[in-house]
Amino acid sequence: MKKGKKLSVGNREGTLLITILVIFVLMCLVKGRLFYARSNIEAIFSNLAYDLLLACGMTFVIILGGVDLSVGAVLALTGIICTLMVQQGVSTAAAVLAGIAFGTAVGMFNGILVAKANVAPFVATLGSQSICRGICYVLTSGYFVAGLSDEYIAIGRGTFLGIPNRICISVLIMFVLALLSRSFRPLKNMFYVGGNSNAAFISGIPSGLTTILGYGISGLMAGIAAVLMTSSLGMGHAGYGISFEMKAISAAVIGGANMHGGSGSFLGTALGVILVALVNNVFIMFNGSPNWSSAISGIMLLLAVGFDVVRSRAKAG
Amino acid sequence: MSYLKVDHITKSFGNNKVLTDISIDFEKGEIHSLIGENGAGKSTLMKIIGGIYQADSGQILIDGKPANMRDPVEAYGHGIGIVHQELSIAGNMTAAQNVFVNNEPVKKCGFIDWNRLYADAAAEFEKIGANIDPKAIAGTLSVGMQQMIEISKVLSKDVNVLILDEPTSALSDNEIENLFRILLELKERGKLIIFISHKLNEITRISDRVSVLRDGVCTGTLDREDMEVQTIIRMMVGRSIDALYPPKAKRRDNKKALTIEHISRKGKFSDVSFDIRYGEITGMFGLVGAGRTECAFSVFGADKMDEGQVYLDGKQVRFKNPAQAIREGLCYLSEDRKALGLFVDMTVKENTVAACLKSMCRYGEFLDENRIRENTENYIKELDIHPEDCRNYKVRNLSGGNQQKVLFAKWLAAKPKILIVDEPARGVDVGAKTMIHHILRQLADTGMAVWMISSELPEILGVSDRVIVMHEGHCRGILENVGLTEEDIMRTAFREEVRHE
Repeated sequence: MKKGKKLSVGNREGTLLITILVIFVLMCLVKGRLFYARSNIEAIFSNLAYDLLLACGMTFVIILGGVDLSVGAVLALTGIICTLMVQQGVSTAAAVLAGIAFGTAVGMFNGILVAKANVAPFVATLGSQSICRGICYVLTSGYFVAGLSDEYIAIGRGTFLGIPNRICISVLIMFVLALLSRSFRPLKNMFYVGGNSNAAFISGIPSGLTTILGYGISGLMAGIAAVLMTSSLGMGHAGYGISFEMKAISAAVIGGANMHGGSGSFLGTALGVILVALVNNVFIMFNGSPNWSSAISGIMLLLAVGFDVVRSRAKAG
Repeated sequence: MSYLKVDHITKSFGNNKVLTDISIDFEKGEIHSLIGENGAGKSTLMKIIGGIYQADSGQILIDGKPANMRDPVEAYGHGIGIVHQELSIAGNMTAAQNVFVNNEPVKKCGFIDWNRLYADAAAEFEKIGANIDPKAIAGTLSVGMQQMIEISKVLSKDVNVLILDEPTSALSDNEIENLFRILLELKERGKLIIFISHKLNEITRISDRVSVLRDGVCTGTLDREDMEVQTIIRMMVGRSIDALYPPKAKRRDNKKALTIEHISRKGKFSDVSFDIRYGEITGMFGLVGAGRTECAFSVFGADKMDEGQVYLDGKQVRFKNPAQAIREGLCYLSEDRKALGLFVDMTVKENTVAACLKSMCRYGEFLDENRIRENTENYIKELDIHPEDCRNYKVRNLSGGNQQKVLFAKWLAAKPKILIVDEPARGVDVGAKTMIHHILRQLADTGMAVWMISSELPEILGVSDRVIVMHEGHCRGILENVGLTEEDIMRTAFREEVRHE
């Protein structure tokens, strides 16, 4: 009995990993120091922490057969709540806890709308998105929230063994979720509910609670990302996180999650996030305009989906 | 010379050889049945004739000329139409729109000619004697009517060959009669009808010839006079099934597992009382719409109950959801295995433990992969699920009979005291069906209380110890299955109607 999945071109994680390695090696050969300089590697990874967290939360929601459009706005609002509290002299720990709790609460609210009130996920989370983004502007009138304590800023700017905290934290969370999703029962239930919610109900799996938990985790990830982002940038702003939900969805789908629910992989999602960041960097290395970044991730998303279509056709003979 | 000739067809999916050198001749003006266990290759062969799959080698000859069909449209061009097992009705559109989907009569400038659409549809329904309002919304019609629409859709394209894949599995007896009448009429008009079914009595009743498939090989074609049930079964499974049904309960101590008193659910069933006992199989017979499944749903907690009491082991219970019922040892195996039973895109392993995840945990809530694997292996062996190494296969890739066995494994793994099985052998082949019946008997012999819902009289008579007869939401009687006949049961079901005459 082999432990875990095989890494081969036949499955998504293997394909992504090989693609990433090939691009990496080619770039090292072609561009040399310019590419593997610490400053460039850090540039690749700079935004990756937030994307990774949001994409992990999104993976749960997609496994459930839903989608969470609110995460970008929840990130912005949570960031503003945290930074306002710190600005007003509330202790760092309390502010962080309050922020994370708020993000989770919004997520669970989405989950309740979807599971109990039977609102379509797209609509429920679109509503939350607009409300959260709106409150951001109400609270700040569009100004930056600055003047944060050194203690708070240290969360995001600090390093652990030379690696920025925010990357350590998000990679750690990703691995924990990836492990738990395979063996921790409440998380494993998501695959059943997303695969066939009626059969899950008949089988005694609490589909409502599972759905609420899934959206709750998505909100929680947005909350954690908000703390990391505002602390490393040193301020909160109503414009943070715009269209992050789309990046998260792309990464999850590139990583092999199925928008119809029932399947998704955290390792795949993480590799999807890395691949998008890497390809964007490659483009810039060859003096392409950064304005292309959105178009590039769109092309990669469609390539990934096309890859699936070709593969399932080949399987069907 | 034969009209449609299947000539040395071979087909594989990957390494899996589904059809091996199949040759069958079909004549015009005959009903030619195709029978075989699930996974024998019937549907694959029909899909090749219908242009959905391409054969690896061999050819299809129509009127002696090779016909090359790369998709269903080209098959229609050759006069071949299929009514699939799963109907493809657009439920929100009218019956007429469904008949002429993608084939609507149009006026000069390309707009749909609604008057002609409805008139033509009415004519099509008239042709097969179906009493359907062309303007009715298709989704509101019964399954039988929807199938008529589907047949009209195929016939409207002027086909010579009509293929029906298990057309009767969801129909009531009346609807089946009507379908057969239509098929016989079409035969008179010189059409070739290829009829795929699992029900031997239907096949022997209406077909002129029957071809038997076993493991992708055609084991022979029988003419009408040679069509004997035992012969067909032997050709299907390679052995004759002597005792089709298991023996009755050996020991009955009448210990009540479930006592149900005067339960009602508005618009579904009313004032139903009966009990289910340990160590025996209680059959619940009823035609479609009798309220059997609804009744089980309410007891199981999948639906509400308006009135009445349910006692489990003498203790009053009212389950709010299936999770509570499962915890108390009451399980329900659904008749609709795709919608309410299995997670078809998940593995056999994941499906097997779906209803007993809690008992597969250690350290609190962490699933124990080893225990899950052992459990799955046990059930694969015990229920003889094929292929043997299917633990990590997606359920979607198994044949119907094996899917049904996985569904059984899922519920047996939940260790029920009382097991409700709703149409436990629907859509599976004779071999698997017999096996399922024997499993039910074994379970009862080990002390389990089995409540078997079925609309097939032979199954009810062959398997149950007692029979509850349901009709139009009421319990019409509870009969001991000693010397009971199909007629007795039907008379009980229609008791009220008989009295009123």
